[in-house]
Amino acid sequence: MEGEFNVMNKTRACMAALICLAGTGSAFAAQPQPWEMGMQPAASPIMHQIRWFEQYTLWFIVPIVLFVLALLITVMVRFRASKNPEASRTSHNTMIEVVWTVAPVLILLFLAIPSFNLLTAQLTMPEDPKLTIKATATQWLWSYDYPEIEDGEISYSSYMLTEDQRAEYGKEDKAVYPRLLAVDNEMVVPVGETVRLLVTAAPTDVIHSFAMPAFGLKIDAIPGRLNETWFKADAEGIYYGQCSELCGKDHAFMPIAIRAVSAEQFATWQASAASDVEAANQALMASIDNAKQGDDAVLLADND
Amino acid sequence: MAEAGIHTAHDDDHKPGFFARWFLSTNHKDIGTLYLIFAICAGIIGGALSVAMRMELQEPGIQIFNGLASMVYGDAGAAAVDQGKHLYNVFTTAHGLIMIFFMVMPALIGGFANWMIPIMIGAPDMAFPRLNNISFWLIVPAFLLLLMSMFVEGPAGSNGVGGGWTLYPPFSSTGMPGPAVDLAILRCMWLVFPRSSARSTSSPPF
Repeated sequence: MEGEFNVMNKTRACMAALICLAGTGSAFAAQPQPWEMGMQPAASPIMHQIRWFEQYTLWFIVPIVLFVLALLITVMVRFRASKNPEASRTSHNTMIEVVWTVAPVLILLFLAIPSFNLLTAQLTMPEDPKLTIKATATQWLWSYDYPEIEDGEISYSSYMLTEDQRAEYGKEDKAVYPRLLAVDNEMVVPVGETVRLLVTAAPTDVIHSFAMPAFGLKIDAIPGRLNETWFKADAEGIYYGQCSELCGKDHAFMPIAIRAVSAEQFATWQASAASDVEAANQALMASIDNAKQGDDAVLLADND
Repeated sequence: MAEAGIHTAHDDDHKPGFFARWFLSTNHKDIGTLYLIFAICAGIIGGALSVAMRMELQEPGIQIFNGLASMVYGDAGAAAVDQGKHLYNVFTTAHGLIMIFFMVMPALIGGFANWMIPIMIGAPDMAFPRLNNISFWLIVPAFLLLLMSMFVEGPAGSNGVGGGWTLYPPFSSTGMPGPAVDLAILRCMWLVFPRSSARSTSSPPF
């Protein structure tokens, strides 16, 4: 089971990556797409597991629906009044009662065990986290603190990027920085590292919820309570989510953006972010653009 | 029938007047009809709120509710947009509460169950017909309270409860200090009585 699971995960991760590459042509960007019918491509181990579990439950629910439909049609046709004028006086059948008790119990067992595994995985960090970030929700913005950084604490606020701020922040590209999802200062994390996330709301504020669909993450931000969760970004890129607990008039306008970068880029960003987050972010964006141009150059050279 | 002699002394073809029939009724069929009429009225009001929300969502940005807000509060520009955002939440909250508590439940439980269950099980009426009557007549003021809550102050400077149909605190408490939430909560209490005590006790004995 474990081996199969990993193979399925890898296949799915490759497919997701391919879809993303085809879709955006640039870095992995997890955001809603027009006419999107399913979930966003998985970008964390937990989300891969969630998508696996979703497919797994479909193998139960689809046959059950078809079976019940077939039963209903059979009953309607075979026992219609014209064909079956004399109603049966059957009151019980021990065999059928045993079957319809035991079968659902078995089905529930098959659903419960992977479900509890998933729940445990969501609540248990697989290793000691490389980084701890505290996300604090306020009406209507997110604030991120990196309390364990040695070079002085990094602490900043993340507001939704308004249309007239695009030029100022160098975020004109709407494919990468979509309207109502892009923010001025993203949460920056190193790719492939376990990050512990502490989520709360400001003491006199209301309940919010931190959600990141591509990571399979959703956890309430409650005043006076510290909720803990974790994630591990599979690929570099920007991931978008939204506040997911109605928190007032600007509930729809406090998006969450996480930027996953390489370890070196994160180290550079971290060194300068303590003193000036905005400058650190500009430098980070420039270094990402440079790296991308480098990749494109390599690709062009290969084509020649 | 042993009491046949007593009955002949009265008018067997007793037809109560309009007020007695529709306001004082203990007849499960009449009360069921009242519930259905009420559910249709509430459904139209809740549906109208939904129409406004859908109009707003036809296009990105805010184009309907800022206008509604400036009609209500008389502000323009950014202030109207801000009030419009809250108004949108007030509409979703009221729409959710109305559609569940004042349309689906009255129609399903109050209307159809009231009408059908005594007939289906062969009972003459509900077990507690007077409770059945007051259950219905408490829903009407409860509905009025909810509608009123849309027009009195919720958060400072704006009207109505925009806390979603769950009314989670602290958003619905410290987040909205005005009396709107009080009315919406009072609405719940007025509904709890008919729903939990009366509905269960006035059901026929199963």
